[in-house]
Amino acid sequence: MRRFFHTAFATAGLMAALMTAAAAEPKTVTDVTGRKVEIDVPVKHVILGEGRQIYFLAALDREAPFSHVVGWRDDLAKADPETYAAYLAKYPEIAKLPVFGGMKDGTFDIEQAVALKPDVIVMNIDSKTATEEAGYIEKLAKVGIPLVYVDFRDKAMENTEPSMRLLGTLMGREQVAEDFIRFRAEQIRRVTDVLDKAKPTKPLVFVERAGGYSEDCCMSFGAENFGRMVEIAGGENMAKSLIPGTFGTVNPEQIIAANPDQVIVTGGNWQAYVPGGAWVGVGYGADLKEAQRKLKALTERPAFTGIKAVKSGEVHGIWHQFYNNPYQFVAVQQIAKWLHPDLFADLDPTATFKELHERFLPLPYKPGYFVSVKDQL
Amino acid sequence: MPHGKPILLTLLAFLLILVAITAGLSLGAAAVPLKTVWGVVADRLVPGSVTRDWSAGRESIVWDVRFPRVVLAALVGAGLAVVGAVLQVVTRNPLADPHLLGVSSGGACGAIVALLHTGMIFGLITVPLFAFLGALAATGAVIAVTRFSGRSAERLILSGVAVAFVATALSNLLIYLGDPRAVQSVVFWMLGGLGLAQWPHLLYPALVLFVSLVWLILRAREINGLAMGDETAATLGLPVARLRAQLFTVTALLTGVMVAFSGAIGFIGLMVPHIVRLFAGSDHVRVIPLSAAFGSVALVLADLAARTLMAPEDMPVGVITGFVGGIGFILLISRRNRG
Repeated sequence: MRRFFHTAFATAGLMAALMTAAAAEPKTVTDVTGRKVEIDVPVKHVILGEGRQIYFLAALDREAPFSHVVGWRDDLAKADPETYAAYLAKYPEIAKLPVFGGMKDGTFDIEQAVALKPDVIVMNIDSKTATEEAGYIEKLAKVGIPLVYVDFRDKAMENTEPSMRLLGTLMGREQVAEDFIRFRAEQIRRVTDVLDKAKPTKPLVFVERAGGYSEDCCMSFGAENFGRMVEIAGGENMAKSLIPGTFGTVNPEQIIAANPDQVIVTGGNWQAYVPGGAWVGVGYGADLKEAQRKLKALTERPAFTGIKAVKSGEVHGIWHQFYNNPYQFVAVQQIAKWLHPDLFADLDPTATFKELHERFLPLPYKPGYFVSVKDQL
Repeated sequence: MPHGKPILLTLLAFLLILVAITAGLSLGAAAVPLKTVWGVVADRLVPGSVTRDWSAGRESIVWDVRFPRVVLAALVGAGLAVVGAVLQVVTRNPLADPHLLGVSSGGACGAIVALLHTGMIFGLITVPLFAFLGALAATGAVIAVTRFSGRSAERLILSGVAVAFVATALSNLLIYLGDPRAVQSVVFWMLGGLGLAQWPHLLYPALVLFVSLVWLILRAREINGLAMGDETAATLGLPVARLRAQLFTVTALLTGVMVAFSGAIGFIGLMVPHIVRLFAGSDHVRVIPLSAAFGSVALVLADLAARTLMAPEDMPVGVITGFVGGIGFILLISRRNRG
């Protein structure tokens, strides 16, 4: 009898150990900076270095995107209030999530982070310098908290897939990550295949980053981010040769001198940052009439005086947050449709975004992400 | 001073203003031929006076982007230099400049409130308006503290420095509490920049500069008396305390308006009056208008450097004025020591 109990206990212990191992096995992952990090996966508790990281987390876990989040930065409510409100309505518990300040610049309260006992901290690559200077990686490693970097902003087209794979591994959602990556690649090919075949003339495009956010004119994108999206969509990014990095500014004179064929202004509801500002408030369920009014007002600035794009009404507003999430392929499709309307007459970016929501995201789709000066609203 | 020298200096000043404005209009991030530049200007000032053989884009670059900026640079440069010239007498401190007495710090504080916290509630005029109100508040604070603690030049400086410290601390708090993404605009504003110049805005600084300049030139003899010291000025029958308060108020308002439209630009108000006095003597009948002229030249050229040295990036003009002014000041000091 005693032997039976011994055997039973041993078996139970072994099973428990095996189950624990299955639940969380140590795995070496590589983040987008090339760092090799050992993490017990799947992780149960995550700190998000930016609130807007929920964009990709939601795509991996549509049933309970916040179930593993133990802390985040407070930027989602400010940078994308409509999306935040929609998530809050569906998941009221997010109002109680501990909030970190300063994570955008790579600094945060390390004591608070340790107290929340996360299995991993996910940071954006643009926080890397500040995080390293503050010695956070070493400090966190001492208490057994790994930190990984993802990137949907700096070199978004290059790093979205590895970032999604990394997160899929961390969350134990590898298959969902692969499905998403496949869907994304298919949707981008719907643009690139047509362009490769037709080889159309590339219109000159000026992308204004967060137009109207401040009085300065004009912030733009270099070879990456929206600049790269324009190139993929069959356009020539005006600021590519002027801005060495991903982000920078362009002199108003150069916009007038370059005389772009099209202008794309990124925007969002930034009432929390710049109350009553001139920003173009596109986004989740946005008021497109108001967004169009503001877009038209931006065309009256000295930098846009007499340029081709304004004369022909080829001035468009697009959701700024496409610059910072894995849904950029929707932006690529919309830009392609603006730049080459004849080639992409059958392409429906709204339908693509709807499908993305239906297949991967917890929220229902609401239009409001794109607007043009010449739209009949 | 020889009789012909003031006339010569005045002619030189006008010539330099013309050269500076020509350079400011002709050079920039985009290449526009000189013939086109002056064609556009002539056509705008006297429609139909020249044959239009340029593109709408080039016309826009010259008239909508460069010209208002050059005019604003000239106005602000003149204003800051005049303020510096007068404050150096009012405070009896050769190191006095528009930023010494807390007015600029108050203006910066007001601008930060607009840029980070209220937003553009009054449209494009919001930042200048708030900056001016901040400068006005700082001026009021300095006057109140000076009245409370005695009206001497030393008290005025100490009051100004104290108000500047408080305003700067408040600005830093507002920056800390504000959105990190908008801080770039604040930094650019605080370092001084003329990139937001637009024709409708220029009326305010032009009007304030003109009225202040006329008033100060009419008071130039009294300023000369004040420059001799409080006792001498009182002996000459000047109401020293009242005159000092009036001069400070006018210069503070002038600074407030200039700061409101350009941000905090250093060294123009400190350097230019010294250079003018070096060549024109100490009579403020000459010093004030010549400071205005050479201040214009200095800032137009500094702004030209700011927008061409790192094109397409627009460097804050305060970086240029600080760098050139600092080196110039060192040379000035070493020259005086040798002399």
